[in-house]
Amino acid sequence: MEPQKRHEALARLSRAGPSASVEARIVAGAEARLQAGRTGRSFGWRAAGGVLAGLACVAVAVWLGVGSTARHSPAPRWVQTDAESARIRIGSHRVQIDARSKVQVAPAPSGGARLELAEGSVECRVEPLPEGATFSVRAPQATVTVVGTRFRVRANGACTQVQVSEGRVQVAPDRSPVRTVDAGGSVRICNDDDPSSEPAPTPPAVSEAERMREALGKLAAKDLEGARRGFAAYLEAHPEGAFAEDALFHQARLELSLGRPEEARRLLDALRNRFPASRRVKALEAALQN
Amino acid sequence: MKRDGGALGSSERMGLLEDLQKGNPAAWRRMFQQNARAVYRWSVLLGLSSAEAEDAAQEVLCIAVKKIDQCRSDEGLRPWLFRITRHVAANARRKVWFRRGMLSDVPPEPAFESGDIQGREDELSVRRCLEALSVRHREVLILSDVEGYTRDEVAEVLGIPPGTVASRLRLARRAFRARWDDAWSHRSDMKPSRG
Repeated sequence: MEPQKRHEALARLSRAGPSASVEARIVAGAEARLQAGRTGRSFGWRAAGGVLAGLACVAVAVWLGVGSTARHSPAPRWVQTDAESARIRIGSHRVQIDARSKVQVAPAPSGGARLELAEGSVECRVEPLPEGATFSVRAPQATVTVVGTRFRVRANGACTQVQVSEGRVQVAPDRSPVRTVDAGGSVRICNDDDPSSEPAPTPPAVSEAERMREALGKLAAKDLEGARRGFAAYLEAHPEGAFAEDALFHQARLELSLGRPEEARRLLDALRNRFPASRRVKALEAALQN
Repeated sequence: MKRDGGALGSSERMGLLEDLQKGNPAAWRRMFQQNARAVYRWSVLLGLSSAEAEDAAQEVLCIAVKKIDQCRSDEGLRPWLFRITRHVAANARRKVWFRRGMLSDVPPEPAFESGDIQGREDELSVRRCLEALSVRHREVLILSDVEGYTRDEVAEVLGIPPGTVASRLRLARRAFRARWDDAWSHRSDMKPSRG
């Protein structure tokens, strides 16, 4: 390769960047995280003022013999997404707010958080919580409280669906008893309050994450047929799973590698229909063109 | 010559910086829109995958909001953002070390938008060659040969003497060239000439 080409390839990257949708997602995510957290230069002064005011309150409370310390909670803020999803962090926890969703975020001072999902869906990755802290998502029909996990809550008018990828959550429907959902399980709570309309949580025989890890492990070990079967099994067991995009992509690549381009095209269509903004659509199209 | 609007201390950026430090929400939105692309690009070139770079870019922009008072008015926003990016990218690399180790055989996917196959191939070739360099060499090569900063500017961004920049850049280019030529020599359909 000529040196000029090498320099050209490097210089050309000065204009490189993500797709417009990814760029928009970065901007939206940064803005959403600001809304959920804090903004502005005066934050330090506000925080200092808050601390002084808090100390004054504690001093007054102790003086009055109240015996409890009032803790300042950041004001809850609404985050609304349009055509693009957004990712925010609340402390060390990660929350993906899917497109066309509206959620109120209230970080808790003890390291937890309280989300109120008005519409759409959110996916939460919750880090281990300190003792006494809670991370909960309030949906129209139920409140989901984390016991330490990764889960998705979807609010769809008359129903709320909870799907647990890792760990365990406690679901408290407004009009029926509290139940615990393990990894791989899901529960649906609807307005009609008819227990028969609420399917029992699916058995957590093999969790969604375990299936995906197994398939990725086979891919890493270059067991192409095993990996293909693994991704196919994942998609069959979890068609709406958190890793569906990855599974569709990897399975399509494997079908192509194994000499089945028609099947790869079918999976590409499925990926395009379900995740139109996915950067992997273009990657697959390019692979198929080659 | 700087590319992609990466000028140090331009009057436009100085005005923007003042607005940012005043906490003007419109200015912050403008800043995000102007810099998201560059921060994502640096994150990818510093060794992150596209998904990791997306997270890192958000992280960098949020850190910038918290620490905007540390950006000196005579310094320029873009180099300051690069410094934040290198720290965030270093942290991200440490976090994904185990996963990368497990999936090291999975080839990298294109992270940049490109209209043609040649562009994607070039991107992957450059990224593979950069991955073989040390982080120090990678940084000077990115700032100098990708972003177009001068030696003195690179020295200011990285906080090292200009002589050290020159030395690192020479070694980085040599290592990059060796990797590049090696990669192309394995292509049976092309006849490489040494650069």
